[in-house]
Amino acid sequence: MTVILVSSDNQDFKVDKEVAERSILIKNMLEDVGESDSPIPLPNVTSAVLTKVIEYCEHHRNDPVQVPEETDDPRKRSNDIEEWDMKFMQVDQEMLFEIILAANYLDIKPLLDVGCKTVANIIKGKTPEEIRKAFNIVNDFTPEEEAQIKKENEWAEDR
Amino acid sequence: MVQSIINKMYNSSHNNSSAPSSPLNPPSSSSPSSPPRTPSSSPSLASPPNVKRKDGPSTSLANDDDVLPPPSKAARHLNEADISNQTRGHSVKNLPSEILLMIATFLVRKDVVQCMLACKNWQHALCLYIWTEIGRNQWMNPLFPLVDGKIDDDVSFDHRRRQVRKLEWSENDNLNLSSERMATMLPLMPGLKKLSLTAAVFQAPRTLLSVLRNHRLLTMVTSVDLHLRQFDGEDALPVREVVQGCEDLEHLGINGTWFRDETQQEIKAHPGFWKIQSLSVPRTHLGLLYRCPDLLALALTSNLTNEVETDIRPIAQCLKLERLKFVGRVGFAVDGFAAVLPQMRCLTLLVIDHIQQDRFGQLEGLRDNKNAPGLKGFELGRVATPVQAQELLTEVNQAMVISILRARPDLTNFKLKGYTVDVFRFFSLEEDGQSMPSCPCPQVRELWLEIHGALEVSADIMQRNLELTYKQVSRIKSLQSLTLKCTRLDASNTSGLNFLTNATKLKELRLSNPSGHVWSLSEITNLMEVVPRLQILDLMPLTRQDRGKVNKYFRDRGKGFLCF
Repeated sequence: MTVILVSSDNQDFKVDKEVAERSILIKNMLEDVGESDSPIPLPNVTSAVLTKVIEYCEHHRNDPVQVPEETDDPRKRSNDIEEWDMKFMQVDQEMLFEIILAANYLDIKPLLDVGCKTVANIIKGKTPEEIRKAFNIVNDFTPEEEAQIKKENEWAEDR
Repeated sequence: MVQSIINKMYNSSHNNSSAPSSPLNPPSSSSPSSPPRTPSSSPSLASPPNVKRKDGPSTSLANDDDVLPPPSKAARHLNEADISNQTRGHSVKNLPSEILLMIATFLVRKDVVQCMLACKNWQHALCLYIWTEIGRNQWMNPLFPLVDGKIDDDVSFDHRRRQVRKLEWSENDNLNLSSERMATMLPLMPGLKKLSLTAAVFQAPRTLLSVLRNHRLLTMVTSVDLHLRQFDGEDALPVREVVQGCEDLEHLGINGTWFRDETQQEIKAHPGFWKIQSLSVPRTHLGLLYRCPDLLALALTSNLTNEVETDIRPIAQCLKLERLKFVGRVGFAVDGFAAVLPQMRCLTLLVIDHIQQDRFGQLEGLRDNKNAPGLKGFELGRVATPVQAQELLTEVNQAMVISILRARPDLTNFKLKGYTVDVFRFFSLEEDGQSMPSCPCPQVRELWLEIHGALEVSADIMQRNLELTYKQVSRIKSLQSLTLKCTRLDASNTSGLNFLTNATKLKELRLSNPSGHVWSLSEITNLMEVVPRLQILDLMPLTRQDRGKVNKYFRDRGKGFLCF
């Protein structure tokens, strides 16, 4: 069984129900609506982003529900990205953030996690200046403000 | 029809996206009422007046709307549609703060603070996040504002205190902060979900406990660990009385003499089941298990003097149990209940070292894989004592461990910590070194081994054994995390990192061989060609200079890479 997803720029995407249901948003909708051929409009997702998201869902269509590791270690890790996912995430930053927002909106938790981990990995170990450079952020602090924030949060840093 | 679908989507999207951020924002009802900061409030070390202006209540919630998505559904709808219609690109700067907060959960605090210094949007989004967890390091830090009691009644700290979701405090950590003061502080943190308190050494925790009970603080938390000492002249409290009314409690950890187990009669007299899924209790408190039918994880601790054999029946009736951990003495045969816990997936034994002689006989039943057939994780370790850093596992115990591994080739996590093994025996190598039997843990993803050799083994043989070990490890293609520590000073790894070329999934690597081969940058970069996902690396010995170079090499390539 297939469903039709319509992107914000009015492009139709025909995908297997199983693939579309990787999105909890769509899954819940299909459950609520029941048997229906009506296309599903996704006004927050452009066709370029939807193409990527569908690619991800296709690849992970048979994934089981996430199983926890058999260890006592509760740390949240960003270093456990699968190889395919890592390659999948090698896109320009604009697309990376579009994917994250789409994953959040469509409620695709594993994709959202991979996106956030990818960004976290870019941030890790960088100085504020390096972070700005990496994400093209303009420094809008005065030197005094910056020093102040630094001082105020010194207690939090030692971990 | 379509309209109803769209409505549904926005509803769901709204609920959905607000969910992750909710634990980090105080209840919305409290935000409008957060009192305005009085200009006269006394400045404290960590937040001088000019910063309070920036970061005070005025910017915390009401003004977060600059950063957060608009609150009303309609507004949110318009806003998002607007963005997508214009197909405007998203830069990291205007990511919604809920996403930034999700990203922050994958970062250590130091990195989060660096992000706050990047730009104002990020600072606004993250400034309260660092208050969500208060741990040991914070109490130990004299700059931490809560250590200084003066700000207790400073309303400008209200919204920060309200962020605290997880609090750990031990009386040992900061002598200036008494359990009395902790008791006054706790009711000021209404968002608390996870609480860990230790007041076992210096003074009676009388005040602390009465605050916990009078303010019904424990009824809000989902996880609590209490290590409290009983004071003179008081009866120990049955655990029941401490967790009374704690409907949401998912984890309970109890230690110290303050609490006592319940008798069968008491359980009958005060019936009641708890929803607790994770329990950590002394070995003497097994009666509690009858109250926790849904238990998934159990950790049992034991005090040093207690030699009593433990009744395993309470454990055997926890049919859902998946994770079992012993710290201290086991006190009974592990296989006794391995047979009756069909769901068990992960077993951890951290044993006190001086009783180790042949005590692994208790594990006998694990050699039969019909017992606990789903076992995937197996960890053996010692409760650390500084007296002797490593202890060579006796021959009998090694044979036991190896036969368990042989019976369970699908183990994914195996750790042997604090015990060294004789590699020769461990990998059942042939005397002639010509034929190698199969690797005892062929599908393991996480492997931790500390290698030694019996002292009578000569340096030559040790060297050869070590090389064969590397060869065995090189056959494990599923490895994701590897720790190999060699403690023999007369043997070293000569093959460099080449033995890892099959382990293409490797993410974490710790190798140590103090007297051995000094790792080099080129060797590491060569490895990265075949093991692209490697992100955590700890090699010994590595020169300080190379360490810096390695870190820089990976930073330059945008990898979240850590080299210790």
